Amino acid sequence: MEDLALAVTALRKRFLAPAVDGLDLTVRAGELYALLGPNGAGKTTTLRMVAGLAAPDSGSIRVFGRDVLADPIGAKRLIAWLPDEPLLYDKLSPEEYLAFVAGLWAVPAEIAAARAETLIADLGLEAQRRVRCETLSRGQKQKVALAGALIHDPRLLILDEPLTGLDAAAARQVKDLLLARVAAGGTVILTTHILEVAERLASRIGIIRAGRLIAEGTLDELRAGGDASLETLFLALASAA
Amino acid sequence: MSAGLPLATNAPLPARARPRQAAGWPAPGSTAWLIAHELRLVWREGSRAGRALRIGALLFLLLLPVGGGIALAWQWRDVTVLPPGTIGLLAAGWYGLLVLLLSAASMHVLRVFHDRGDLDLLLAAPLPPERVLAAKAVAVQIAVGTPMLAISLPFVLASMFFGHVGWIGITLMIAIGAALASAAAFVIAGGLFRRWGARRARMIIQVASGVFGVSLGVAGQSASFAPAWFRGTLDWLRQPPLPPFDWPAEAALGAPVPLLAFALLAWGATRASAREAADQMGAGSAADSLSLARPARFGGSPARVLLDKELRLLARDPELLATVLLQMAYMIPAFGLIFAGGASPGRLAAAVVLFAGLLAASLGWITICGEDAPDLVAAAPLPAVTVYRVKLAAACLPPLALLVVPIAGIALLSPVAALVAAVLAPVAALCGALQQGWAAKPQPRRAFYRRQRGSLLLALSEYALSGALSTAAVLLVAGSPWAGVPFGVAALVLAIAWMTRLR
Repeated sequence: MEDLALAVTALRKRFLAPAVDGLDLTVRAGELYALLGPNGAGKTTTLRMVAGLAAPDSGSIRVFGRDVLADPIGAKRLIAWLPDEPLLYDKLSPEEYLAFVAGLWAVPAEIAAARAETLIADLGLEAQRRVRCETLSRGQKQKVALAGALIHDPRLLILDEPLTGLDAAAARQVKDLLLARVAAGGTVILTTHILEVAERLASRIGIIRAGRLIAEGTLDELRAGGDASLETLFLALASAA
Repeated sequence: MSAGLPLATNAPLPARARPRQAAGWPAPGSTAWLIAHELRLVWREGSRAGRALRIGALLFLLLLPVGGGIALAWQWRDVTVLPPGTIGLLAAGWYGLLVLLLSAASMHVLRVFHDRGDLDLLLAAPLPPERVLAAKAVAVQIAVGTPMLAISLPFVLASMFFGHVGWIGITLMIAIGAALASAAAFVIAGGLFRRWGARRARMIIQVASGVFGVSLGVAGQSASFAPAWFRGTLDWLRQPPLPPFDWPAEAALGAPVPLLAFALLAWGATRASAREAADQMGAGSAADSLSLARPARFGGSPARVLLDKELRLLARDPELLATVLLQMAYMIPAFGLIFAGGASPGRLAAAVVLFAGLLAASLGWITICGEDAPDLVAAAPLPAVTVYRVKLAAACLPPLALLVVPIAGIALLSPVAALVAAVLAPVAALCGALQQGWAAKPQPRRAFYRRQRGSLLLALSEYALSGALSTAAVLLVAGSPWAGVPFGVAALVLAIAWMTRLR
């Protein structure tokens, strides 16, 4: 089971209508998995349930073999969740925010400080490290939130639209960081509407529609021998009845 | 390009898609239209309640000035010679009103020009910038002056009906006061914005408003706890001020020359403020970088880290604390009620309990409902119950820390009263914070300033809960067997909050 970073089985969640409808999904350890789907397909709801932020109506979720529902605290220690909207504390500086998040995950202070230094440097946040987050731009906030997600060295990193609001240079920094993370053995699951990102970064791609997985595989597997772009494939799959 | 979407067409819109242009409604882009737009935003920013509820609440609130105003005008209908001291009191009242309007106008200026962030949109529209700015300036004046006009108008109209035609000056002087206060606010708020940036400017204005509101409340209640000072001040205010400082009073009573002078002053000030607004457009603000020289350190257990975060965020947000202070100022009449029969150890204990409950309720809203990063905290490996307890503790600790010295002071007067305060203050604080956790909706922290407008029922039950425990404190110190009744009321309020809690 340890080679599976995530195993989702028969997952269901209903709000007014079914948001996730019997979803089965597996993500192997050490891969970058892109979950794609049209708006309202159930991507964010699925990932929120994986991160322990929402309770499923039924089904099971295992993260590195741990049952998220039976042992949420144990599972959360392994996960980092980055929502699409970077919600930070206005009155804390990035440096303080990282120290706070590290404290929540009980990372020893010296280790946290060293990791914070690296992340701040990697994400180009040196100039902003001691200013209050309320003064940062959307892209800078996004980078601080990403650093917060990485400060406790999660085994599974879940990102919802991580490149929203970033300029080209910042997006490149984030992409490099994610690839480095995967190269170092980490597992990343992300949702994105930028299909080029999925095409270039993802080891495997899952396409979800109406709460169900309708296609999954590497880009080549999805093409099934053809040479269609991911955009063409996605639009065909997402709009199919 | 999408094939199905025509980008530009001269074809007329279908009838259903055409915006309705009611007869007499200002033409789009006109000054009146822009003012109406601004006022609609002011109206909607004021409350999250539905339109019908807002109109209903407004009509209900107008009942008092209508009824009271007509009754007062009836009582004064035969007055031909005003009682001595009227001029002095009227003048003092107008100057006080001016300060009140100034603080309100300053907040409006910041909100309308800097917070809303719609200036770029409006100025990018093919409209003269002067028109956009003038509409905003007029909207500030109307928003600031309307509440006072609504309160005074029934009395003024009824008085005019009974023959005091000159008293229309009261209404005019309120309108003039609103115009002058708005003009001054453009200069003051604009200057603070340029010097300190929007956030600090707002904080300075809020703190000043809070201090002024509290001072006004304390002065109003001073008849209860400092009657000699109150009488002395009233006598001093009754003395007519030297000309021209008595002109506001003369104008309010209909004297034409002072009225005309003030009208001209208001017109000039409004023109000058419009120029100031135009200058503000070009000038940038001071950087709001708020660099932290000494960053905070977080250590210990995750629960301790979370508690540190809560307390640090509270301490670092003077704007929020000023709002808390302002909301506490609304409770000064309740404190006045406690001390209506004079100060005693039991009443002091009651005041301490009331303070603890109300302050913890405010802080409870901030820490529990106003979590700015709910996903982060929920995703952290901490049991939800621990998070909740930490947030309750963060809400209760500041009021209890503030009350250590007052309780020690009460102990010198009466150990029993101090014991009652020491036991009931934490209870009131915990109950107040719990009530918020159960009943208030999660919202961004910046929504705090309108929390009591969001749910009138919650605000009333908050006062009922702390008021009941405060009453219980008085009765307990007095050794009354009736102390159980307010405890029962408090328990009932809490039970209702728990049963109707948001899940």
